[in-house]
Amino acid sequence: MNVSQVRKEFGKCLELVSMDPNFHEISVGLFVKKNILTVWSYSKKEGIEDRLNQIRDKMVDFGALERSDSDFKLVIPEGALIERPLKFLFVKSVEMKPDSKPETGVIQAKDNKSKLTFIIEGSNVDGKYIYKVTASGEHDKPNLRIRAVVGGFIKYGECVKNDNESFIFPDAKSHDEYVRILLPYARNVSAVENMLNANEQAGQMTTQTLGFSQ
Amino acid sequence: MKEMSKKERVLAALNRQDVDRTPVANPTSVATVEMMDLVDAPFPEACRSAELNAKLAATEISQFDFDSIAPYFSIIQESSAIGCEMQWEQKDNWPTVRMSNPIWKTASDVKVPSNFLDHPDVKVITDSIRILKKEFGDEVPIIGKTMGPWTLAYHVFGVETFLLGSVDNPDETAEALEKLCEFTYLFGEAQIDAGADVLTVPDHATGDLVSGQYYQKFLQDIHTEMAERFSVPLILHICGRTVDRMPFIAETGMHAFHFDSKNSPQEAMDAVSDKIALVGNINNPETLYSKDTEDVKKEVFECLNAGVQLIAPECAIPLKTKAENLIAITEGISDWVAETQN
Repeated sequence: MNVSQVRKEFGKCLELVSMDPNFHEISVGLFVKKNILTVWSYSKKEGIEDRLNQIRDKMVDFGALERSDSDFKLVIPEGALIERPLKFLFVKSVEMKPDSKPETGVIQAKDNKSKLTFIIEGSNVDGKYIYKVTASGEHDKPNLRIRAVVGGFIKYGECVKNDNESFIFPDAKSHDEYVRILLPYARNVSAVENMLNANEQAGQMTTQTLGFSQ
Repeated sequence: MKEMSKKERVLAALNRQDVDRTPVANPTSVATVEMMDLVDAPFPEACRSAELNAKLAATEISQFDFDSIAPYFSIIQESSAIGCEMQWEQKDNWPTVRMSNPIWKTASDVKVPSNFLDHPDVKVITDSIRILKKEFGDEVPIIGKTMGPWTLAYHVFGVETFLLGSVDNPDETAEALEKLCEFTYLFGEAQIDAGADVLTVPDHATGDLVSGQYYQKFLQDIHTEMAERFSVPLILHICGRTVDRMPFIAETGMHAFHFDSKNSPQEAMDAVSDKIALVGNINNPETLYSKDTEDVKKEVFECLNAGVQLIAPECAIPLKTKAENLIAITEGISDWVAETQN
């Protein structure tokens, strides 16, 4: 398919991974049209269809999206079209080892700036699904770190702050899979920002990247 | 007005003549990772093989319906042939010169290698132009590219050394620039012989490094001579804020100036006083890279409303630019034509 056909059939490109580390370093895009997502690449390498479906399946397994009957396609459940977490989910699905399995059980992650472990639990309160962040372990002011994690979810999950220790997704519904995907990023916003900035700079031709600005 | 061929349209616009519609003509590069996959011509190989280079360059026409083809994607082919230390990088990054290890120290070191035009990294461009000329004939203009002496000086002397030298010993700098021009002429003429209809001359006396007076002092005469000597239209490319030197550039006799989005279309048009055509200036790092098609079209409209003669990204586009944003440039022109005709 050419560029015009892809655009007409699959819609807008939400995210583009420039090099798939698991398949010939091809570029892979995530496209959205209404409530249908499509994983697509312009590459014609042998085995490309299987690889695109494999990425699609990872998004289903790790993101609680619905597999469509058609190749490369997913259905977004109502309310789950939240762009930033979808982008993180897609990038992770491309970059993870093909035999990776989603975690189950308590949503938790160690803080990489302290000895704390963050735990996130959701509950329905007056029709809103609220995620509360707690921490275990030693730290003088764990509340500061918890507040930072909530800030990370606001930034990367498009979430709304409920209070200093809790947040809500824009549709006020449960999105445990997104929480699990985003927690490693939300706990360390400054490092993630550096990573994203470096990623953006790669492939840009500017006086900085050419070495002309000192 | 009768529909023009792509070549007629671009050449007329470069001459500031009437056109049936404003052309999209990128003087630098529209190579992207998606197009590399479409035609199986990834970086860095597409910078080093004429066949792959031509395949990737042709996507400008086959996928985006632009009005020209620019097969020299980067800015390092001559410097590799001269002997600079190269970092060829990978698919999603630009090949660069390791300027921390410069190969020359003074103007007296500047010498053209005897086999310069036969070096594979130079020949790849001339051979690619021949392939493209054969494929597209006289319908589509091919825009070659030959580096100006200022850019080459960064590569061979190192940025800091060269700029400091221009303060400490301006005569030496002028001599070095004069000698480096030989590469510009040799490579440019070779591309014209191969079929290039237009040449871009990137010469990075950029706004954030040197002043407009510096441009006038060191480069204006050099560029004026180039405009006289080359037999095809020239497009000068300088990145950054350049409105302070646009009046000087407009006097060189070059056909067009490829300008950066750090200069607004209207102020740039005002600065050149209709003495040179302008090409540009869709923002790369934000608009084309990360915004939506509607944002791209909005910038196209701003350029067209100001009277910019040729629409293009401001520089070589980010390799991870989404294809839909490139199509939006052409669509933006169609939308503008439809809107203004009504």
